[in-house]
Amino acid sequence: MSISGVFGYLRNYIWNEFYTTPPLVRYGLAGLGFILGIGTTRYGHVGAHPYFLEVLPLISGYNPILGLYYALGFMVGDMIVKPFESTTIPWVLFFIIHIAIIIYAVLPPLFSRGLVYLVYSMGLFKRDGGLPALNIGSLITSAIGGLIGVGVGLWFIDNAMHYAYIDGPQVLGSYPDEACLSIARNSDMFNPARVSTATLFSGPVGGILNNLVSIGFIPNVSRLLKGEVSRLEVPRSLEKQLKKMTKESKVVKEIKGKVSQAKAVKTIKEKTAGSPIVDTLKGYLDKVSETVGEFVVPSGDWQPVNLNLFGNLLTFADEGFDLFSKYVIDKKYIDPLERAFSNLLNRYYEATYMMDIAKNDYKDVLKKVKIKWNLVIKPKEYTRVAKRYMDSVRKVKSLVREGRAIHREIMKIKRAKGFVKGLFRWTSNILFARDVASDLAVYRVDDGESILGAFTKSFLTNYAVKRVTDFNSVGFATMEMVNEVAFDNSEAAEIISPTNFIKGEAKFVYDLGENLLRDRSLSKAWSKVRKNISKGDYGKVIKYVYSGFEELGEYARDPRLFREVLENKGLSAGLEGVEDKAGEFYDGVHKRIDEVFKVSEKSWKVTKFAAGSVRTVLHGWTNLIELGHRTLTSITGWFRG
Amino acid sequence: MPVGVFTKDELATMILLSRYDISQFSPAAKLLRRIAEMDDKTILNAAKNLHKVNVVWERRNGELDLHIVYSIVMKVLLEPEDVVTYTSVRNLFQSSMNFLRRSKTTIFFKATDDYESFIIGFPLEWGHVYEWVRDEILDVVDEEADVESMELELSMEEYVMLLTLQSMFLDRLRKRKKTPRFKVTDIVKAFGDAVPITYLTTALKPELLDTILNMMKNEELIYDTLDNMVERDLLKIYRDGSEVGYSKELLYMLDPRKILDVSFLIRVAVEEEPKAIMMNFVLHRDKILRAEVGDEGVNIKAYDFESFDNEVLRPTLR
Repeated sequence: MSISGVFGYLRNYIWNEFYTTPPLVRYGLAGLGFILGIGTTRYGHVGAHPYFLEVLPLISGYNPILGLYYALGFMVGDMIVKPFESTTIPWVLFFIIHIAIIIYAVLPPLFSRGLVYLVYSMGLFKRDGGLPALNIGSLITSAIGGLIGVGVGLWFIDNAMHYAYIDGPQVLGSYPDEACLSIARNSDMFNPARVSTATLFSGPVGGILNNLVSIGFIPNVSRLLKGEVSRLEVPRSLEKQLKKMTKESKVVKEIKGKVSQAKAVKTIKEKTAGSPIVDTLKGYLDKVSETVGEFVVPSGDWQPVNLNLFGNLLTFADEGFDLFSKYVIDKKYIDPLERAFSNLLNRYYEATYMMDIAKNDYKDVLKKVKIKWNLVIKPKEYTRVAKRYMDSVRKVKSLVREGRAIHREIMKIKRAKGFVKGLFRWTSNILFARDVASDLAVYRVDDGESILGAFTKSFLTNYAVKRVTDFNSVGFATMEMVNEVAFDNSEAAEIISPTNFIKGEAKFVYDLGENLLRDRSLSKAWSKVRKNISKGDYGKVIKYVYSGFEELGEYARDPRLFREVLENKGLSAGLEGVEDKAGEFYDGVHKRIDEVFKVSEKSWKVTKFAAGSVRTVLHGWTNLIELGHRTLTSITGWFRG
Repeated sequence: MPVGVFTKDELATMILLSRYDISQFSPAAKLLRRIAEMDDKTILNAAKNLHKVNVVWERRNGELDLHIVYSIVMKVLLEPEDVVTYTSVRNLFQSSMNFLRRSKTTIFFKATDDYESFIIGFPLEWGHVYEWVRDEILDVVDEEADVESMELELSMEEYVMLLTLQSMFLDRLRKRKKTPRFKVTDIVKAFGDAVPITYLTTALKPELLDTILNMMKNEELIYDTLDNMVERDLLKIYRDGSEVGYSKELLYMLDPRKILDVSFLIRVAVEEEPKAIMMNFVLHRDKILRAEVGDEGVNIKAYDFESFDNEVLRPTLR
């Protein structure tokens, strides 16, 4: 008996049910659920739909897949009708309740079948030809399972409702609705009469139905009708047995667990105390954490895990694993195995050839065998030749076995490789989902967009980032890492970061397109987007480029400004400290450089160093350009003069 | 027609007593290992049993020998000039039927399903063999169906690809996906997972095995083959080339849902250089498919029963 065995059994059970259910029945029940769901209810309460939650465990008890389709159809119908019902709760939150209903739909049969399987694997009841026999014990067990399943499912629904009415609205920037929750809780579904009908009837009956179907209801019924009732097996006080077993196993496990754990800790402590290796290791680790802490953590506090950093490291690890699998795993493990396989193939051909020779020799010897009444007369060499023949047969067989083993080994390694790659892929998918979720919250709360709009925008922008960075994932990850380490808190970090840059562009394009579609006028759309640009919503790059263009526009509107910059008094003016338009212009550039590469005192040492050195270099370049510009104007002025 | 039923040990003892050469094409050659394992006591017991039913006689010098009739039967069984074997997947758990001929004597040989006893029927006329096999095929195929004959010439790579796609299609059908469409990445993965290796049993030709191993090692070859097949309109492209699917003609010929049986017919003419004809037929209700594996390529042809009878069956078994 094992819990993992139950899971394996349930998995097979569900697949089996899925494949054996005709599609028409599945879609039919989904349609029925849809029809039930499409009707409106008071305040849009899900629990107020008549005859849905009560009947659901019965259907899913008969076949969990049917129950699932029924619940899914209901969900679609109910969600379509939600916007037309009078409720203050955001539309999306009803999904949570529906997810709980789907869980409620699937749990009773799983609990009922799982419990029956568990009890049978304990050996409490006898089996009838591999299947659980129809007896009172198995029926009671499946009924108990169904009851537990319904109970747990209802618990899920209740919690989901609490979240949907109280916590969820607050997260989404709306108001909680306690009154509505209390009405929902006292709606038809949750009033005592309904609870008793739903839980005490549907669950157990569903469980029993399930059991009857799985063991072949009809043959057993026909046997019953034939008067074999007396042969039915009634187990001795099932409840007592169950209680006794669960109690004992619990106590024993607890005691055993505690003792072994405590003992293990104690032994490890005793064994490692004063060990030079452990001390050295401890000291080393302390030293490393000190050094790293000094280098990395500015305020001395431990910072939460940086997910961006994690994502970039993941890219490196993924690429590294590709190289590793190509140059180490393939070369070191798979290639030798493949060589061994082709080698084995040659040996196999050789062995079959030898077997043929031995067989022919044996055939020749056989002709000389004579049989008398009580005697088989064999030639002298018979034993030797027969043995050689049998040996060669055995060798061929063992080679075939060996070949299969090698192939199995290769497949094992390949599967492991695939598993690791899958792990990387899924982790990056999770990070992507987290990016989408966090952006969704920002767009929803800060920009006040609708939940669907915020989601679309967040998904599309993040998807654009993902697709672009996929072109050269390692290159972009390196840029991000350098950026992260070198320009942590400065504005420069935002400018250099490729993901920020791409996301800004994508957001810009999305907003422009969305406004264009809505207003159908370019000027209106542009005026809306322009505000966001100057707010810095699309990243610093677009902001500065735009402000640069705006300044250029100013100069373009008043040609005298240009002339003043170009026709300044040259070097002499700068040397005399006269402020002209050119001086103003270059001062602006210096100011902008200081703005972008500013660092706080708390910043890391590396950041300070990097930002400082870049700042110095940029100031130097600006000064050089100013020098060149003024020299040029001095010369032209001299010529003019 | 007398029919003899013998146990494994009895037949082995009969082989021992006959002292003929055991041809590798004889279906009884599989008993050689049993003979090597048998001890004297078993041999003597079997000989005594055979003596009771007059299969074994005692000579004057006390040695045992086969009855003259069974001596002839064993001659045909162990040193045949012509062997025809027919079996089908429907009867996978039954042993195959064997017809053996030497000079003008034809016998029938079949093991029971547990391979513990053997049935020998004799003497037959050679014409019976053709009728027997024809009736077996007619049990599945409709005699009156009229189908245009179709032909496919495939290279080795294309044939291996088709085998792989068929196995993937079967997988899809098991998952209730009825369209014969495959992601290219899945196809490459199937080669990585050595799916075609499972067809090694059909890869009787070393060239075919080499092709499979080559394609498993070389991804480029897989893409090239897919390109070729798309150019020849055997496959269609879907979703910008990330998926490929069967063309209508290919689906008509190779739809696994239409397969009712797969049968195997082997005829070996044992001469100085034995000539073997191995055929396998895929039987649909209305047509019969036959794949011929040559040195460089594979020819797949679809017949209706009448043309199949005239072009394949009668010439093979005449």
